[in-house]
Amino acid sequence: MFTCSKLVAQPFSSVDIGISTSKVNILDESYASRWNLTSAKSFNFRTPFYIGTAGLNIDLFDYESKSDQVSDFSSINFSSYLGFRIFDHKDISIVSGLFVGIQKTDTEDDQFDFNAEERELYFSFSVEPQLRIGNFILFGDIQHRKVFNYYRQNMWFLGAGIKFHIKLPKNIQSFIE
Amino acid sequence: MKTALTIYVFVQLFSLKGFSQEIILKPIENTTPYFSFEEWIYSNSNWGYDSYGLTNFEPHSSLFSGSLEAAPKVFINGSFYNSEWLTNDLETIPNYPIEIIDSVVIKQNSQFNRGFFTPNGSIEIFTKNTDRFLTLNKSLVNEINDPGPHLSSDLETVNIDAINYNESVIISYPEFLNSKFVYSRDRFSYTNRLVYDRELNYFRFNRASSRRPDGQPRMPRNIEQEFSLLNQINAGSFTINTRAFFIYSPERYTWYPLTGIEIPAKHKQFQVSGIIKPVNSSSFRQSQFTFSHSSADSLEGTTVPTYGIDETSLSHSSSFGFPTDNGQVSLHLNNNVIIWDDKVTGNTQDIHDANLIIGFQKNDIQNLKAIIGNHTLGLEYERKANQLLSYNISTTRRNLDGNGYNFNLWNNGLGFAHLNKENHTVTNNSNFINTYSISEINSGLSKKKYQLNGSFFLKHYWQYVHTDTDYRFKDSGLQLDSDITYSDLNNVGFVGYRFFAKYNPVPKTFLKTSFSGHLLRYGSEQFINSVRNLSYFLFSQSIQYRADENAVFEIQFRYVSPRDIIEFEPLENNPIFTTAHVRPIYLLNATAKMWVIDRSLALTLALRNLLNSTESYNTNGQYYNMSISVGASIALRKTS
Repeated sequence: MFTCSKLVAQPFSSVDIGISTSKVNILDESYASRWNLTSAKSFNFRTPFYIGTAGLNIDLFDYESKSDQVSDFSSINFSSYLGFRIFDHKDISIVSGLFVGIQKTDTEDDQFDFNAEERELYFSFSVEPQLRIGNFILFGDIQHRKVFNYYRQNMWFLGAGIKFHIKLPKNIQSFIE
Repeated sequence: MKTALTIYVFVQLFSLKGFSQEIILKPIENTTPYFSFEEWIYSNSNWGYDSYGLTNFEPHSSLFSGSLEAAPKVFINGSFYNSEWLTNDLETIPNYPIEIIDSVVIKQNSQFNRGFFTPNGSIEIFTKNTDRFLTLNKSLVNEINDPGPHLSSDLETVNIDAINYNESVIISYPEFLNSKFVYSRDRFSYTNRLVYDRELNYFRFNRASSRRPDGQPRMPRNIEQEFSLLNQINAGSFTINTRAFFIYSPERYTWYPLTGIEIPAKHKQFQVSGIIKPVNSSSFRQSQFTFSHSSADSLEGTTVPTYGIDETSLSHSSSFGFPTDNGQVSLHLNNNVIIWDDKVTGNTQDIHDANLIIGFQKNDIQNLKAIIGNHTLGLEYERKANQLLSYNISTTRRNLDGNGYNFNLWNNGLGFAHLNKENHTVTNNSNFINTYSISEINSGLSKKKYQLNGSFFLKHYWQYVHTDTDYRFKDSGLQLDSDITYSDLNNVGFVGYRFFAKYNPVPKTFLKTSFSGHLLRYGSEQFINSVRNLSYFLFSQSIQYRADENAVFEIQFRYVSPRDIIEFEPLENNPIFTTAHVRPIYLLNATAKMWVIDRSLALTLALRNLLNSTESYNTNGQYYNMSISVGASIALRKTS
């Protein structure tokens, strides 16, 4: 059941390009009492790398204020990804990974425009169940994310998405390398 | 067995076999990104340093950090770089992107190097010979712990959107005068200047002292731009290397901790230098010309002047050699003119210095030099007894203002120097003399798999005159005044050490270790107190794993022992301001770097300072916070 043979594929031998949407829940009361978080829309890029699967993610979601004492925020989250396949059976697999990224927030209310822009580091730990159907991959998105603001943001992501698998020809692999 | 191995290594290290005192840094070995080129050099060698800001690195080579006396001399492609401009003593090295660097050679011992006496060593920077290419770099450095969405709520503090935005452009175009153009821009904010204390509900220091018209704090962002143009021209039987360098800082905030005031100013420096050399051997060896103009100006747009200083210098040196039956006769001529102009006080000062050095060298074994100048008179004799040992005796009298002489006796293994140094600053218009000796044991060993380099040194000052020149605001208004503190000390000194090792124990894995510090300080209580900020040691260890030539991972650990910052001492008894000590710094960096498209695109992800606690947000004097840096470079053609 647990395989090691597929842990490392030829670097850049294929790419997976996908989109997903996830419900975001923030655990910290100081945030939860002030803002509602909208669902996250994500773009995913993955490729086999020397020691696993590497990738990039872009997530978009907003902070909607619950009162006029605080401002609405938009957030765009850029991250890099390193994942390892921990389970593989026929067309089903589970990939576990780590995201390291930056959350960029922007105030949307003129009243709160003083130093309104902020970039903050975050880590996410993820588990991604996958079902392969031809060149398509249906996947689940389960993530725990910690954003390192002065008051930390702890969030859970729960969602689903679809990826398209493209095998890269040798000449493109050589070009990338 | 372990003891025997240790003894063997030390015996090898100090046996002077395979003698090597130089540390050579190669950018190809570099993975971890740095805030500046200076940080890369100081933290990859075993030079101790302090850093209170992100882009300022103060080398510890002499008694006091942040002093030009402590700074090593810098050479770029063989030509001397005039780092001593104005009072900007921290700007010692151009902030070159690492992509243009071939190697950096660090010599830490006192010696004559390229015609200059370098009592605190030298840093020689060599740029790459390249094909035509264009490289763009962009990186972002940030810290954790900013308020983020809470900025309008109970934390009442200020976001720094990012600490440093760094961009650079390099254009190499060999077809036109073998040109390299380098532009780099840093936009950085000082961190931890705002210290909001939750217990006192008070801003202890205000990193955002600048205000918007509506009264809201505004984050001052320092802007520093550097332009460099390097050319090599082949003109018949001569090659001409030229280097033009321009620093322009339209906004620069110098922060004064005691007052919490950030003084804005414009800084500019222009330096142009050229070396002409014959292609084939001839009596004429080379000539170098350097012109430099620098200014620091806060006069523009202000009704009351704070400061405005101009410095202009012109220097020239030429060398000739004449072979004879008994050896080589050489002539070296140099002259230097420096003019300072203080617009606020109206003071001007100038120095004219000219020297003729006549040398005789026999069979690479004996070297005799006589120095004759308008302020200098000297004699130097060097003899290499054998491959393992050489010695040097020199005596120089400098008489710039009726004072000063210089005497050296040293060799590459064990040395002694006795130096009088004259300093001239615009702000105090004074001369002062340090008379000290340096004893050093330097040795190293280079093998295929490892390089070891170590030194112990003793610096004894018979007379040490230290000045602190600071600026303060007069009570009557925003006019700059000089606040000068002299300390005149006798018979003081310290013992220090440096150790550096690189090794490649197993394939794909590379280790680098450095260790430096001071073992002992002695002298009067005043001296001991005054050098507390240098009582330190620095340990650095990095482990690099190259999974592939295009994928590298590196873990780096650094420890800097706690020091006191003298400037903060008056805050000890202040109930509002905290005393700022530089606490021990445990620094752990983790970096992953990969190259794709024939190494034309490089991506770097670095997490710095993983061991830092969140507590640092409420302190002052440290910038060490977790940061993330992403860089990319694109080359039109692969560099050689």
